Amino acid sequence: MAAPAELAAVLESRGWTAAPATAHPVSGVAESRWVAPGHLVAAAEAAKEAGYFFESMTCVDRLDPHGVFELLYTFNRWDAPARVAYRVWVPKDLAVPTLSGVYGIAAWNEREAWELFGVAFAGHPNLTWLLLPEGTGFRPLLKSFTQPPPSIYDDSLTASP
Amino acid sequence: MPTDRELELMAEDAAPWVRLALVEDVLNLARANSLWPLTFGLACCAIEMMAVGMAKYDLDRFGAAVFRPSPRQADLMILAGTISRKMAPVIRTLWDQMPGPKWSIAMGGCTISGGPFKYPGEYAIAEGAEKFMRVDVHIPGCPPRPEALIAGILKLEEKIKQGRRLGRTG
Repeated sequence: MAAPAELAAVLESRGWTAAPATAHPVSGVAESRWVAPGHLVAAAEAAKEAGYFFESMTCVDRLDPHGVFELLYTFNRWDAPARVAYRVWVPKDLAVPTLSGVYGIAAWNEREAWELFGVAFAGHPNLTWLLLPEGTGFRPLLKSFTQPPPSIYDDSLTASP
Repeated sequence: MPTDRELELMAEDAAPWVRLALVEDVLNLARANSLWPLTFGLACCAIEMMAVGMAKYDLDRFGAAVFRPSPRQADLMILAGTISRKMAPVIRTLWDQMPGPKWSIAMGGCTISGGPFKYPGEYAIAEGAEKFMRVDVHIPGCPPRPEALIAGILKLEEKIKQGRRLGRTG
């Protein structure tokens, strides 16, 4: 049985029938599914049971008329073509449950999405800055972001011996 | 040990009778030929810097390959690689911790101007090391060849040998 079918069987056994998979024959992702934020942890547990590892999570700032974040979680197995994706749409002011309890490595991607987009992750163990200086007040990958405030190390501090 | 400022004042006082320029020249010769760089790589330029220290390019020939793991023991900072805004305060702290006289080399485009990361609205990369510290020699390149770093160090050695602080009033 192909890997995505195994995941479908696990989801089925958990009473998961409302989210049909979309097949993507050419994109490198075998199947994608829409997942509601409230079902995300359960869906990740099913992926883990089906032998998948957490591959990546990324975020898209969906502008009007949606005004939501789209989170794209990809899971994979080594027996190709096995990659599956969960797509989660979440309103910008709502929190997403963290996957760090299921896949510990997810904490890093979530930290990055929080830092660069401002996605709130409920239950995250260490939601703090990773790439930008601590205390950075802007979310640079939001489409509403235009110009960063100057860093003190760029402008005001004059060079001295 | 008297401080640099005290030495300078003493030299000023003694200037009519004592010529310190020769002493200073000898000191500078020693300084120039025993540069101790800080073990400190920021990004891909650091790979070239490591190559310079290895057998093929052999920076020891110029007395500058004693990479020190502590800023207290180093008198040369080779800025090798992209400087992120998060890293800039760390670099400034290390620079301030190095005892003088000290020198710095900006290696590669990133440390000179931000290099390929310089664009309007840049939010993560500091656009050049000179925004927050003194730089003595700039080495262009992305990354510079090991030979270019050696040339930069030789240029810095020339600069050190020309510098006179104690003798200049005499």
